[in-house]
Amino acid sequence: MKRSFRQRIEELGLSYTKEITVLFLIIFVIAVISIVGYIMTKNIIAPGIGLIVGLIITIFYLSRYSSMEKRNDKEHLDELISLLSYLEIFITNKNNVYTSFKMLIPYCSTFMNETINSFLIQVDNDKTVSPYINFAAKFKTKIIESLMLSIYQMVDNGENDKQFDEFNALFSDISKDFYISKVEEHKRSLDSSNAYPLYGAGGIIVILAFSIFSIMGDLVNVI
Amino acid sequence: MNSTSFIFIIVSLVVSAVMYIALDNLIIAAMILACYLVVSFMVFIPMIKNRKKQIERYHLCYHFINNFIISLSIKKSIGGAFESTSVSMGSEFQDTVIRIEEMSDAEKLKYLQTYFPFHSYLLFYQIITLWQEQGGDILKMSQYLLAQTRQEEEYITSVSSLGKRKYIETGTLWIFSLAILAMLRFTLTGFYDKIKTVPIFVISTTLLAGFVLFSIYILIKKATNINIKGHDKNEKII
Repeated sequence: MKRSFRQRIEELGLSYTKEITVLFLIIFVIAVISIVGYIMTKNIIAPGIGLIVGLIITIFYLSRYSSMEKRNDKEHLDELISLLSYLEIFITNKNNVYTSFKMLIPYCSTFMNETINSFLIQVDNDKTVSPYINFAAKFKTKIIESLMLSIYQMVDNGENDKQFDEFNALFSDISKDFYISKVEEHKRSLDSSNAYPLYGAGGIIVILAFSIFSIMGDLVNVI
Repeated sequence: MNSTSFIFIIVSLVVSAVMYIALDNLIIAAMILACYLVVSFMVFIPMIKNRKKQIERYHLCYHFINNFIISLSIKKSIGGAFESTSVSMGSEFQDTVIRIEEMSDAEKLKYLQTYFPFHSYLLFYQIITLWQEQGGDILKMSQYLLAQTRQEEEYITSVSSLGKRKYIETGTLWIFSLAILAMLRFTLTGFYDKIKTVPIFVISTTLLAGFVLFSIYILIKKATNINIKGHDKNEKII
């Protein structure tokens, strides 16, 4: 269990030691505040609040790994779709699939560089569909599996034009949908900014209400 | 002074004027104005300018690739294609071309990798090199490259216009929200004199000005978050 947690952190490009140290520091600081609070107030509520706050912060801290993983998965998929469009360009220019994959390396991120290199090594040793399936498995989407199977069929059938056209037909639809979804996602992200002025307006009402209550309180005290 | 700087000066003046009207405190309003101007000129304007330059450069790259390939298919020589493509480009590009006049045509294309630091240009350069070595139909060789660059160009154009629209939308909403705050002074009349002395009102209203600034930052960050392949978002373009 601990090993998989460590692997998970390291796969995100974070330092396991640093992450654990930060987590322990947070827990330590909250524990110290709770103990000091208990000594000063002699009330069990202080460590109780400390425990709840500590638990909430720890959960938030740990849950960020899952959002980081999701973001990384999306970025990897985004990169792969672009790389496959480059692969198309290389294949059209008289390169075979294997060489075209090799030619992608200068355009790759570290993750993709390792993934493609590992794929090429597997292809060298195994001429079945397995390396293609293993490669697709890194992207957690069935679309990539379909594309990789199409590439495998292209290789298996001697890389003829018909197979390439089939791959191209499949890929052009995916690529088009992908760009549309990217624009939609950008729009959704921008739309969330509309909430800030509304929060601001709500804040003004609250400020006003508190100010009026404060004045009324003073007036009541005077009376 | 360009239009972006002018807009941010206006925004800073408007927010600080609203804060002055609401708080009736010149010192706080002046501090807010100074804070807005510093953040605008140190953070917001460089963020927008850098992104704008990257987008403009990609548009230029797209036009260069398209025009070059069409010219090459007609003229069948890199020198001829480069010459006719350069004529249709902007003055900034012409200046760069003048600086590399001594180079050979192939060297010029290679050098332009630094001017167009995108994957699309690198792919284009690879195709041109292949065409030089092996010949062939350049239009057929570059058909997928042209499709890919067009798709990227459409994506960049769409998201940039979405960003501009959102600046106007959010700006309008903030104007209405801040107008409520400014109107308090005129609608509450005598009661307002009491409110402006309440510490919670002064502190919260000042914090609201900070919140407006934070929301501007988030909006700019989101609007400039455009992924151009081959180029880092934060990398400055030469």
